[in-house]
Amino acid sequence: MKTIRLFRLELRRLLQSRLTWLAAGLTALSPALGLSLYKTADASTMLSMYLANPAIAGGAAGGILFGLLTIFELDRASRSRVDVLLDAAVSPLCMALQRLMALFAGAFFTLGLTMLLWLPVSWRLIGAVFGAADYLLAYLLLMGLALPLGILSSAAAYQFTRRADLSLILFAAFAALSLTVWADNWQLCWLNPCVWALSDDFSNFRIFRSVAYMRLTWLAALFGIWILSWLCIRQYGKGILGSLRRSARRACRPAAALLLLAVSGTAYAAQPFVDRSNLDETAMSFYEMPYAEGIVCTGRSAWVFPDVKAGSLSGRAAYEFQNTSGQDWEAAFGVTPGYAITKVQVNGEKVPFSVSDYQEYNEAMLRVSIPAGEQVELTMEYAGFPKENRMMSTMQGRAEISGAYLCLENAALSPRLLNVLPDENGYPAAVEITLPASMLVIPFGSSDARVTVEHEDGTRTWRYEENGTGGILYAGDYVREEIEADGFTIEFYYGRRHQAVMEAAGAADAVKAVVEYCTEHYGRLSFGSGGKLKLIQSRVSGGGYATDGASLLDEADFTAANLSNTDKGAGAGEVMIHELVHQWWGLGNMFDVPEPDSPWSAEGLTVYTTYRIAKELYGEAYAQEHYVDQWQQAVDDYYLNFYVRNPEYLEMLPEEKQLEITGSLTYVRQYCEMPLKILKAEALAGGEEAMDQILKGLFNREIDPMNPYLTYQDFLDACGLTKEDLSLA
Amino acid sequence: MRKIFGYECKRLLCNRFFAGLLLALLFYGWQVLNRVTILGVSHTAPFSSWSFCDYLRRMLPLLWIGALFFLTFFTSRAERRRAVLTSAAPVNPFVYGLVRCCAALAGTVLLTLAVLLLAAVFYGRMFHWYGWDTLLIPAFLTLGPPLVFALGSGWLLGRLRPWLLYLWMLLPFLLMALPLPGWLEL
Repeated sequence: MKTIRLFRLELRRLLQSRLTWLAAGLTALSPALGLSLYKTADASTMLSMYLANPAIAGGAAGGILFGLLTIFELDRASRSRVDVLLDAAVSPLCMALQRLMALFAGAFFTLGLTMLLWLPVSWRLIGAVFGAADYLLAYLLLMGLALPLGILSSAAAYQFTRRADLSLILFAAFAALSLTVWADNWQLCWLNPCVWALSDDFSNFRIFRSVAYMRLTWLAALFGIWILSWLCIRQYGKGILGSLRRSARRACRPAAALLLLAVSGTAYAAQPFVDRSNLDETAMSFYEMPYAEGIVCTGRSAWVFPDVKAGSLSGRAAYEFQNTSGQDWEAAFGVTPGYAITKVQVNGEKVPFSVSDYQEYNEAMLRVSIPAGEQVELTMEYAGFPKENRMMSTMQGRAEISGAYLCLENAALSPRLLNVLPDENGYPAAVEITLPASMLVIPFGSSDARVTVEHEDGTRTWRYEENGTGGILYAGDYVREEIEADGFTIEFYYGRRHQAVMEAAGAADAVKAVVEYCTEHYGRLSFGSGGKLKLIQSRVSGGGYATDGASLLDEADFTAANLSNTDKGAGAGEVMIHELVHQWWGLGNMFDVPEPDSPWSAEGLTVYTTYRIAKELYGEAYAQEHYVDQWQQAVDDYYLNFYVRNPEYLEMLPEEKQLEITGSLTYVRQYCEMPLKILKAEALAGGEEAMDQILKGLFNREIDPMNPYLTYQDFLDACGLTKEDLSLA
Repeated sequence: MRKIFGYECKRLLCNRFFAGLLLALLFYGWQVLNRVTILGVSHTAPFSSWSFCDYLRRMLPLLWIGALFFLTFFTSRAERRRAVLTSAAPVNPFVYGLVRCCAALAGTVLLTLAVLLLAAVFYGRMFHWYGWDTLLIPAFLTLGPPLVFALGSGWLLGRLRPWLLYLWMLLPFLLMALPLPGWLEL
């Protein structure tokens, strides 16, 4: 009872302070900073601009303001020189706890006020894609949890040092670290979480889970530190150690602090969101494994059961082998980090297996011994929460699994066979997946999924067949639209919530225009079967990819914000253009695996063609500014980079730092230098029309089945140029 | 006067505040050097004048706050109560003020030297680079004027109203947050 009475008194006293109201008022207004000054989420979706940015700015400002208020409040008794009297009346430990609770209550009151204040504003700004769940989660996680973190850290600083000035310095340094040098580390940026985008059309549970995890890790750490500092509160005229010794007599107190610190440390080290992939982007050890001799894979199947509430997945995969070598063979599979392999059986018998600690391109390696025998059936069960590639740790959210959206890429769908060749039929695969009835399953490729079973619990099992060791699958609440273009059908899939924007932006016409441009300039695509191409809208991911019969369209290609962009017109869609162009360059014409020291790859011609289409659609000035000038800037930056000019200094750095630097530079050569070289080739060859004729010739050339790749030398020969002619120096 | 200067220096430097401030600066500086400066700035080496000045620029807000906190030692309520006694002492108040300012400057210089020493250790350990003579003038030009300005303006503001010093501490953060032209940045 006494505790509750003290808490009420302390809260009333806090609420009578003008400074509290100033901090609360400024915090409530601070989301406005996210609309103008402080924009960390740079995607152009409505939720990124009008929900994530204000909430993050509100969290950063609120965390700092409540941290300062905490120091001011904790120092009040000492400043007014009533601390001795107060300590005589109430235990200083009890008083510190009451103050903390009162500050927490103030922070939660402020959060509620801010959410009420910004609800109509956000609703109006975001428009049709506003969702109550997104709003609540964004404000609670991106903003709300920053306030107790600010309070705990500054209170701990004050309780350790008992000096307002030093506490302010320590708190300022801690906040500045988060806002500057830790801003790109998703686990360290306690004040300003790494949220680069929120999806308008699909769900955002994965990124919210990641932020919640980071915030709870910090909350545990700071609570632990706060308890330690609480034990150090000076009592009975003793110093810091004497007070600590006295307060720690009750063993549960230091034990709670140590437990919280241990939990936080473990949570930091064993985070489930990002893998430990090799940072060396040129590492290809999983692709360089020797293939088995005398063993072939004759087929595979997978039964996949996503848990859309938990964001995890379980599944079973079966592989059929013919082992005529008369020897055992160790089969290797790529497994998504985060999945645990629970059981592996060969012909119904349990067999031992191992999963490597080494990870590469978001895969770990599973090894299983295949015994000699004509027919071998290998089955495995796997389950878990898929981790994302650590090179993309600041752009999390791609591996979303929810009732509104799901994307399973290669090993995330089922373990990917690495070192056994197929027989003459390839790797025939059958995949079954069970999902809520509201979700439409779209295999990323030419196959079609069909419903095989409708379950009583409101789920449906879908089945499709394909050929290959991997495979990508999208599912969600999609709308399908068919577009006829140059004799083939484009199946255009986009989120239902995006329908109005797609129609207003004329997305179907934009897709048609791109296909017609490429067909007219380079030639018709030849399809293996069906004469159709899928174009699937993905959750905002900052890029895309293409495969035979399917290309991706990023959600950010067509947003309500783009509709008012007078530079581009309504249909921006440059990721869509890029990925559609890959059907001509990269798939229609194949390119070998790029060499580390060469800029030649499918990306060069694809980026160049995207530039040409943008030039035709949006005008020369736009194309010059957003393509050529940016390539030139990136290439100039690359060649001026200190470590490119002085590789001897790069070698002095720790290996992880070296890989971080080289990794950040690799893309420039393929995506910027090569398009510039092609632009130079265009000028030397006689202009755009001449280059179109050259590229048309290359696209329609007779392909040698033994060496089907389009090489740099082929391109140079067709242009009548040499490598030296295209030097940019 | 030398004795007073020594006494004021002792007051400013031999306490938990200075030790804590030094630790905070060193930790923050090490993070900046290892995560930002190591990449080099504007295509230059991490140990170029540009990169080094970028490092100092990032350290400046904390140095600025530290310098102003030194001044709060002379403007605090306790100090004002003590001023009744010190003003009765046979010392020229102007000279006494100057000595105190010098003590605050000495504290700030010590913090600055720690920041420079940290960079020296980093450059030596990471790149085996020891060409410090090229960085001394940029360091002086980057840190000297703002820190002297902090002490001078802080001294005046502190005499006017002690709480103005706390507001003045926010200036570098305000300048960082606002989209100001380059010449207005610290």
